[in-house]
Amino acid sequence: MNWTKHTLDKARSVHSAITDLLKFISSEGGDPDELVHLFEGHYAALDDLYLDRMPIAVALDESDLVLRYVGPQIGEGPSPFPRFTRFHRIFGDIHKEMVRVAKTHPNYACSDIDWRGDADLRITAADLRLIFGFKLPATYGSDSNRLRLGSSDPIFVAVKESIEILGVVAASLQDENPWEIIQAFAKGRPALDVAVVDAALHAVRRIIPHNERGIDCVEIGGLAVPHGRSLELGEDHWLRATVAIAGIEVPNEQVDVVGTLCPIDPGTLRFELRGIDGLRPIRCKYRKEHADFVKSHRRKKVQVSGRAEFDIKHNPRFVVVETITPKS
Amino acid sequence: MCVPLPSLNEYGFLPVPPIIHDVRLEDMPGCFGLRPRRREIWSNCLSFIEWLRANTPVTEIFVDGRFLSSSDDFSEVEMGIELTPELVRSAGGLDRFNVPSWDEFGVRVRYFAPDQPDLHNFHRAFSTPDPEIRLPNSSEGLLKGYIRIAL
Repeated sequence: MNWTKHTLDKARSVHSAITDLLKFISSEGGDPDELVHLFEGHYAALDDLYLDRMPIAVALDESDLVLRYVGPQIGEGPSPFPRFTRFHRIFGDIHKEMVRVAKTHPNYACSDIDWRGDADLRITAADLRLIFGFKLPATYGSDSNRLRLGSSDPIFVAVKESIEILGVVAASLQDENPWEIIQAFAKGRPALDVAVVDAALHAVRRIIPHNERGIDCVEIGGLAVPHGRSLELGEDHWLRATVAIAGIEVPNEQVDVVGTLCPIDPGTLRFELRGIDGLRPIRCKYRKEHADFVKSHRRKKVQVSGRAEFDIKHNPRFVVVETITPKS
Repeated sequence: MCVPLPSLNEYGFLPVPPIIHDVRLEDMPGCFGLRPRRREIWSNCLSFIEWLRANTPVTEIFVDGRFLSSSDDFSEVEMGIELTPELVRSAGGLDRFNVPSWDEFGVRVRYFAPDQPDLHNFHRAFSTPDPEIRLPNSSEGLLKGYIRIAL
């Protein structure tokens, strides 16, 4: 369905109805300038189509991922719009998580490629009613526009597969066993390793409203959602994501790494180790008993030992922390 | 023939066919009034219908809008009234309908000229769904039913 065209057609039908009503009023000897209330419903319909529906239509047609938060305090209350702070925070969270997943992708994380502006997602909707749409960066085709990425550019692939795994993880949370669906999708896609899946689970968990006053759930749609399904994710799915994150498993190979501790999410016991000699940041999962240490050693140099998953160059990608000690 | 409201289809709309579901006023809002907010909005319609009955010769109304769906993304009921030369004459002129229905009753009323199916059909606008995230993979010809109530 081309929703933009569909919405424009619907608006045109309202214009036709107004024209017909004008003619009818004239034929009945009425004065349209006096009979203004007869047109109010049509004008309200046009306002609704152009102001409220068109942003959704465009987002649905163009987005790889489109999110719409739903709840009693979005379209009601003293103001039809959410407060700016909340809009800004939610948009910022979504953007941060999407970039984090892309940066965890091996094409980026296991290379010396720097993040570039041309790899940024395009925004198809950022509506004050908490509707957000995102689209993959444009790629060049036969025009060889060098301002754009090629479709096989490692960074483009990283962004594309990150959006795809976000759609799959979101869809998997509709199932009682998300891991089966995630693993089935990741099978045969070596780039979608534990680190990427962990980052995607965190991203989706962060996107789902949790203890958010007046917001019940988020609807997710777009090309990245498998089978074009739309999803509705609420508190139950947030809990399911939390359980899935806790169930992440890695092989039994040991590693010792020294780097700077940068917390990601104390709720799911994750931090990143950055500033590692010759390596990109590594996602780490720690135990509750490490929580005080992690809190007190934020941005400090530490040594981490634990089990890890490695990339093809045998660089650690994801570490389950067993011991963690300060490193001066 | 008036029948009770049918179950909503997979898209959360009144099923098609028929496009127009003839429903008795006492059967409304039925499944569309399960939440207090929906019942409150429908009560606005009832106030307007009372006004119509008392002040005009209108014999039927059309009910439409996202209120007639499983979506919670609505703020009003849309009502359609087809004006005909006979209706206008019986009412004593068009002025009878020229009331601010939104300000006074909280109802969006769309007045239509007599339907001209050969040129265009105002019923078509009522049967065309709005874009929503919950309607993925829907075909170009996706239609929704709406309601006609005899007063």
